[in-house]
Amino acid sequence: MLNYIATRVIQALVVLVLVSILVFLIMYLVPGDAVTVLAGPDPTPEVVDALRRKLGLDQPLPVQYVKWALAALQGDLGVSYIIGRPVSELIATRLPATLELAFAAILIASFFGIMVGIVAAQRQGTWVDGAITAANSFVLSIPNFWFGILGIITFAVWLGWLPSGGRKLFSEDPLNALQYLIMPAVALSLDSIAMIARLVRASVLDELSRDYVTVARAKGVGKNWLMRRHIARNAAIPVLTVLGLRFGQMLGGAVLIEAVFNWPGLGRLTVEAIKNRDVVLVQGTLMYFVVIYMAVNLLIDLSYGLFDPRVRSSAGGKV
Amino acid sequence: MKPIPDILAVENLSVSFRTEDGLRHVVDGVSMSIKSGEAVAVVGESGSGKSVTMLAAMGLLPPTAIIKADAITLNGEDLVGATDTRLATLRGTEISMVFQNPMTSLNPTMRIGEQVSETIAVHDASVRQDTLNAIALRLLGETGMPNPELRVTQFPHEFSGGMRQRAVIAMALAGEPGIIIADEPTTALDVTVQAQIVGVIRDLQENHAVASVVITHDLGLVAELSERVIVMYAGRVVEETPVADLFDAPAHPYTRALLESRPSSTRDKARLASIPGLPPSSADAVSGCPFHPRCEHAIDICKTDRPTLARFSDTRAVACHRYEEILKIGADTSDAISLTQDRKAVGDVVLKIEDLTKSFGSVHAVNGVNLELRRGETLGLAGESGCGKSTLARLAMGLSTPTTGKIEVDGRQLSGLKGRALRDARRDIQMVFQDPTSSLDRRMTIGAIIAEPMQIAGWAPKRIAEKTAELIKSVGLADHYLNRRPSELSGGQRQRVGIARALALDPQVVLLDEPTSALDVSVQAQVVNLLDDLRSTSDAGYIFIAHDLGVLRHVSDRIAIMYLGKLVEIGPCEEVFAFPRHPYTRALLASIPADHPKDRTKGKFVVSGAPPNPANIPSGCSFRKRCPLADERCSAQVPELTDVSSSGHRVSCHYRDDLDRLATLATTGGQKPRPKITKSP
Repeated sequence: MLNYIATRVIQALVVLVLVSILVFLIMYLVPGDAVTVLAGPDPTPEVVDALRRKLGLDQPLPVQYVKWALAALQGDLGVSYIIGRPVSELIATRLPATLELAFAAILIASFFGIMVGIVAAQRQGTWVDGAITAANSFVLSIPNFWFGILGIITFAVWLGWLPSGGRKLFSEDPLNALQYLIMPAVALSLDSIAMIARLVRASVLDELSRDYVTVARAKGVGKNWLMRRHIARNAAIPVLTVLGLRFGQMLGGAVLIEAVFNWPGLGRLTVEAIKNRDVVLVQGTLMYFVVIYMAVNLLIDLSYGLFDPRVRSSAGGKV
Repeated sequence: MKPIPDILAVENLSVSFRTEDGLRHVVDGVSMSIKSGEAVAVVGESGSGKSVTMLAAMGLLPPTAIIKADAITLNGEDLVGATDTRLATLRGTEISMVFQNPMTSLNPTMRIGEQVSETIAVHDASVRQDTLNAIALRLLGETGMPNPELRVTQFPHEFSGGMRQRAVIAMALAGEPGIIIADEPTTALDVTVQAQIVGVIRDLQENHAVASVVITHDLGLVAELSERVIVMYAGRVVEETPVADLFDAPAHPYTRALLESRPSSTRDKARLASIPGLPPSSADAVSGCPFHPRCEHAIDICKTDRPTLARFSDTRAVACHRYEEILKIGADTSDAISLTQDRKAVGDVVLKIEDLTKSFGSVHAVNGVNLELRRGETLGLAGESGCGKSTLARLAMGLSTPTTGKIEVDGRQLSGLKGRALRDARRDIQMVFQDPTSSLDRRMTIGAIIAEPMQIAGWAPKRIAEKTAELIKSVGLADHYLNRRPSELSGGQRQRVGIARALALDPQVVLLDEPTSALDVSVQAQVVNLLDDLRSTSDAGYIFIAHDLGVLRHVSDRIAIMYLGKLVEIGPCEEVFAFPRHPYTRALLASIPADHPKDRTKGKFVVSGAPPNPANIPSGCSFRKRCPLADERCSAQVPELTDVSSSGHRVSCHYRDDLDRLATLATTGGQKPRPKITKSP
């Protein structure tokens, strides 16, 4: 198992270095660098040169990359030209809102996704299964933000039960904060519910057709026991992968949902940075997404070992 | 004495499945009963309905099955219409089952001990965890699991096939049921492990007051493990008889044909009596007797009137209009033609393998093998799974590069060849694969499959067409099959196509990798006979890889035994079978199920365990850890392959000439059939 962890961590580090190079190069791929933005209209060549020197842009690319990467490792992602504040500070102020939304959404998505998927699998071929499959396709074919808008119209404008947007802190008034959180979280989780439900259904049906299930039934194992003791663990493995991918995406900020609900998360920070050509901030948020995404997937990979003993021993060397 | 009560009785059971092509009748009016403590075998080929009958009795058929029965009685309780909850209560405690494939019948994410004791836990929540653990430990010990204390805490992937099957048997025993059904319990296992499992099942028959039903296609297993036999064909019971009578005086032509179609490891070589044709796809597809289209004794009445199962003695019943005549013929096979006479003499060396080694890291899959194959000769290659026989075949095909050593085909060195030269050389050596379904492209027609090697070789279309027609005829298929696709053919027919494809370019060497192991007995006989015919007309050399020593003895001129990447014994087939000199060869031969119940393997030398991890081979002789003759010399010194006779019989064992020692490893049993179990509950 230790070997397995070490291998996966090393793989993750290699990917991280490669991706960080790509992120760094973005600055040179987009037309117009920081200088064109900072120097204002029609700058003299002297001003441009001075700025380039000041920003270190006159040095060779590899040197610039190493400097940037070393600083990033220490948490210094540079200073936003436009806002004039450190990128890490900007990310830190937006992070709690994104974390809150992502955790809420993934909890809702796993709970309902798994429940609906199991129900569909157990009633395979019946009208219940058919209805669930149809509902899944419906949800997956319509973007989340549309459900967000529909929610605002129904629950905020029409019924007046929930606020239409914004965020309140749990530390101040938990109930009120929950009211603000619930609609964006549900809207963000909808397509994940549908996707996880589909996957759970397929995965459970796949396990149900296996020989060990017949063997368990021949021992006298009933439906509930079978699901709890035998199927759950085995069917969880493919579901985990998708849960991880989805959670990684959510932690990167939900651009459209944040816009619809006026949620002060990282998604909106990134969109603003792109609009303003705030390259340093774009780099910083991208690096954050990459690290978070990879960390979540690494954790998921490591958790396979908890569910599947074969992963533990095959990865740990010889049986 | 009171009559022994029935523990399980099925009356007029019919099962059909809903399929895309409509209803398929699989079981048609079957009645059978099993008495307490009785050992019964249900025999038939795939599709005969033997497993479905038993699964129906357990209520384990999928929802697509339509089940009709007058009664299914377990311990006097009628199960027809019983709720699923009630059935679940009975399963495990009154009736339990051992399944065919131990590699898939265990939950990969649950510890073995928990899976064994689950049978008890699921029925009685009050049993404490330490009691459950103790029971799991005891049961695994009873099935002969080595080191059960460690094993209960392990997961299935840490077990070999034989150990997994022991665990499955322990699970079936855990609820102390009155009857255990074993569905092909040894089919997926190596021959030595098969013999171990036969021993375990026999132990449970003798030491637990339990009735057993062994479902099998293997008449050897019937001879080993049953007192009474029920023969099924096309969803019906065709014969019911005590086991000795089945072998001595079969009453149904199908039973008789089954007996004659299996190759034997002890009888004289003779052409196998194959059953022509195939079983019907659905139980109601044939009018009259379902066997009449394949029956050499069929008369007019057989085509129109369906025979019913009729009792003709206290213990025997048969469903045949002509059983009295069949009984008179008996099981006599003395009129069979001897094969050895029309075999051609062998010619020059066509395949030469020298010091061949193939290593994967520290694992030597093939370890210093020397082998010569001559024209017109068939070399049988045997050994347990993982012994390197398939790797050897891949090397000989040039599909894999040897680590060291040389391969020469028809005087041409194979190793070192690249590109076009390698492709040309490969034409001389062709292979027939184990699984005829996955080795044929299902999108191509049969004609295209057979023609493909010739197209690649650049033959003219006219020549290809002629040769294709000739090939399809030579493997016993009609012309119109050329336009069909593999899915329209049966397993045996597909294997014929695989053989035709291998012979298309007139290869010098033909490798047959378990070509009959995926086929039913009667179909296997057809394919073996076909190979006999083809060999008598060609001068290629054949290597026949198989784990079934009966088949090998039947087809081979010489036989080679492999163990952990090395040849341990090689020599003329008759000589090796009559007087094996390596303890491992003796173990393999002793493991073959008996030809007749009077020859049960009981008391024979059954080797224990499974081959060691190939990455961690013991010093000296690699077989010593499993060998009862092993001593210090065997751990210190690697035995060399040495001649023991002038006929080319070579053995790598320090004690190859110590005949007294070897004699302690008996390869034949010769025990009397054991007395009937008279325990009543």
